[in-house]
Amino acid sequence: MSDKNRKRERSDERFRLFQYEVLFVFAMLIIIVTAFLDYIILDRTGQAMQEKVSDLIAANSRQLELNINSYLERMETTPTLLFSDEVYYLYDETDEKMEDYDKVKNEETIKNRIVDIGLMDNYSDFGIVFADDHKVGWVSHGTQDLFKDGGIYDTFSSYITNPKKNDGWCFGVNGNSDRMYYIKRLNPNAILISSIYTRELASVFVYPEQLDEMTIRLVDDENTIMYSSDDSEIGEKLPDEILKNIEDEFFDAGNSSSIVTRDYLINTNVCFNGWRVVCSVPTDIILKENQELKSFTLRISGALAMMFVLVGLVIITKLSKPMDGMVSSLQDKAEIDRLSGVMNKATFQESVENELKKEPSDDLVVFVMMDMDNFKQINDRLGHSYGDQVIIRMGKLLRKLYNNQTIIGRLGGDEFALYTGCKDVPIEDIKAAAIERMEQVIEAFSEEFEYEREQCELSISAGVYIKEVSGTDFKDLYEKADSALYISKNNGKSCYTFYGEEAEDDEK
Amino acid sequence: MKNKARFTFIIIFFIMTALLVFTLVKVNFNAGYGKSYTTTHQGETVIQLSWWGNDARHIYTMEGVDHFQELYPDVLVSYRYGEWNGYEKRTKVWMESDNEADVMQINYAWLDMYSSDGEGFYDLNELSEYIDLDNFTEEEKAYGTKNGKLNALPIAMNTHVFYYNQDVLDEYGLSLPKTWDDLFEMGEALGKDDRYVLGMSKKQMFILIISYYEQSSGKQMFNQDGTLAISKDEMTELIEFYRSLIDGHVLCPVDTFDRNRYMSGEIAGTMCWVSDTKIYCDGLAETGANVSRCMYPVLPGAKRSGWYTKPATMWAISSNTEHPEEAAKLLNYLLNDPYMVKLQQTEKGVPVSKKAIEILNEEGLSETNEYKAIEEMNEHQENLQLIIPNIENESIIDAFKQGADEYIFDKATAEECADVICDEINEIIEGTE
Repeated sequence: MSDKNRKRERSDERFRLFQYEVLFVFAMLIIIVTAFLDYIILDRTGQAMQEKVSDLIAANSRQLELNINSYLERMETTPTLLFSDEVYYLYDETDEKMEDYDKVKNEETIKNRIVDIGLMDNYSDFGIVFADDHKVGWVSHGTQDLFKDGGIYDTFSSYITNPKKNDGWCFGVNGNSDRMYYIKRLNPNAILISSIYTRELASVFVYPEQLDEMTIRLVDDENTIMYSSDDSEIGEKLPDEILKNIEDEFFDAGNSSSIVTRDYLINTNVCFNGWRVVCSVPTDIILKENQELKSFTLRISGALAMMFVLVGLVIITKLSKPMDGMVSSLQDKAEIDRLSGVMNKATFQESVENELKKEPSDDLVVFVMMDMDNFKQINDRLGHSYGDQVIIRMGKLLRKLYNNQTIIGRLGGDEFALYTGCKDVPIEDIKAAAIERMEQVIEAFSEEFEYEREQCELSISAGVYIKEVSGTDFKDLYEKADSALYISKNNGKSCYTFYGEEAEDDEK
Repeated sequence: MKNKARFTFIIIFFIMTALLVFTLVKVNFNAGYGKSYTTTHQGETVIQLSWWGNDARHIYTMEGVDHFQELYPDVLVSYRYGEWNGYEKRTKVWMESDNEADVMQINYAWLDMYSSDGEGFYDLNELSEYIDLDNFTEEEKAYGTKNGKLNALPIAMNTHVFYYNQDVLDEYGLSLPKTWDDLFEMGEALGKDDRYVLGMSKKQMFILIISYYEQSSGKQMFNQDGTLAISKDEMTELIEFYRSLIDGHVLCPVDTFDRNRYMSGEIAGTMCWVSDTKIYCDGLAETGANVSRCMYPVLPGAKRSGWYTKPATMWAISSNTEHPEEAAKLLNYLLNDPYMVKLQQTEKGVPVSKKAIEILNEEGLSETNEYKAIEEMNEHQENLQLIIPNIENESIIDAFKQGADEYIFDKATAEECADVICDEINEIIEGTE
């Protein structure tokens, strides 16, 4: 394969590589742009979703708050029915002046009243406790067992925290966590105790369309969980990750609020007695669909980018076929002299300079300048068109005579140049080979242009310069060979001269 | 030419980019628009369950209901519950107002009160597809059958049992009482320290008094048709005996009976249903006390024992239920499901259901105090009679207790009180009829 062909292939290869690079850059650009747009769109969608879910949970939590308020208010209202008759609420069992008979009769009356009132709800306790711990009504074994050593009256009295209404709520009494109590003072020596099992609140805390993994809790003033949709939490304090947000100033304002943190969406609603409904759901659960959408969109983007690349490849293939060789052809047009078919001056100079710089470098170079003698007469007598034909034939002749190791260029008009690099060859051998080759050129030229020589005395003169590679450049080679050519012209033409030997009359 | 090609390329590039972005945006946003979505919520069948009992029963029953709902997620069970005192009145309100629960824990006596013709409750035979009736013998089913209709299924059989704090008896050098005289002797010893031999609820007190009457008279207090058989003179003697029990520190006045007084040893013993063993026997044992069990005191030469037995409690389905299938599934679950049986254990007494017994046998049923008490009951089968419903009629019991109080607190003579009591009881019975 010739250097020229290799060069053409390299040019085509570089062009194809350039096409792929452009395609790759565009594909990356598409991916980056779509990923960026996706991120913007999905991020905004995620935020919108969080806001919507937050609003939805807030609305539902508000409903839960209303439900629990309604439930607690009923728990408070029912005992007030004991105030319908003085017998019920003024009876004091500790009154030593009262006869036992009257006590028995009063207590029977009160028990009947409690039975009637107790119809209203599922009470686990609904009874009156007196200052001496005597009990009337339904005071369950479970509650009694919390006070095996007495003190039931004093303990529950201490939970009356609302001085205006003389009542109070409590949870976790003596470590009990299965019921919550409402205490109401009836008279200075009697309190009413009513309680419900906290699991009863499950019917109050029915959450419409409950989100997966959402936890609904009712907590007291000390953030102890009284009810939770997660049974294992009941009796425990609110988890730290929830509590730290609840304790923010934002929440301490006492309003019902919601907050979206990195980990949780939390909503709190304050009940009328100060307890809170706390709903929480992990943020990633809310955004699960959004994450899935993001993943889906990215996959689609990737697929589209791939599609773009494939389509691009097809287009490039289609486009590049007619362009095959075009680049190298254009390059040839730029580098090759159109008449002679050898390198033009600029390309010849560039090629020679590249050869001089290449590693490992040659030891010696042979630079030849050639110029046709009397070429002007060809143009004048035979016409410029004929002159062009002479140049064409001269190019063919040189390309025929010299192998690929020799760079051939047309430097202008009827002037040609040859460059050959040699390595590890003695200068004597090179010179001998150069002489032999120059003789061949003159002879071949004479044969090729016999007619022109007869008509116009066309011949060829040359100047040869053999030089070590180090310390030389194109300009040096050109000038030295040109000066040798000049000598050949002066010495009668149709001969060649080696630079540096003219003093010794070394012309042939 | 070069500029034209570049311009074309840029145009193609932007068109493709725009198409891609448009496609992505369309994919994203079309997810929520353009299609209509329908969310359907399959409504659950809501049924109600009602029962009475203590804390333990409330808690395990609610846990059982949760489990049932896991098994039948299309059924939502709401519940009503309360303690025994006053529950009969609540039931009366619900039944009379046709507002009773779909599935009800009922007392044996209520079959006569609300379904003497068998129409007051659902005929469970019609729901045999959902209820495993093979777990019950014909005799057991007969307890809940009225007018040929199976109105209820018994959960367990019950009778009375006496539990004593053996440590208290040992403290006073006393043995378990076998006769009424033994009880009075014990009362004399304990009374010195203002302690009592026995403490019990009003209802148990009435049955204790009846057993004495039947032993001493050889007659039943109520005829099989529910009418009062005791004469006013006999009632007078009975009231005097009742007072003597209190005065002799044999029986703590029911108004001042407190479980804590029994648990603390201030009251040495109690009489209760076998089904209350967890509370009065196991509960006392948990305090570290030694507990002894014994049966009724007897009167030498007595012609009747005065001992009664009954189905402890029964499950029935409302005749008004709109969801008999779901109610039957719940009833079957409560009686026969292994999870529920293990939750319930012997809290309601030794179960009747063969399936439940099989399951509990694996759990060490024979070691329970309830089982031992029932075994002892079975040894005295010849002395046991099926309870007459009026014996448990709360109004009748109140009439007796309140009338007797007049005598005990010296507000009237025994004769006057007996007159009032008999008249009131007869009025109540006539009213029931």
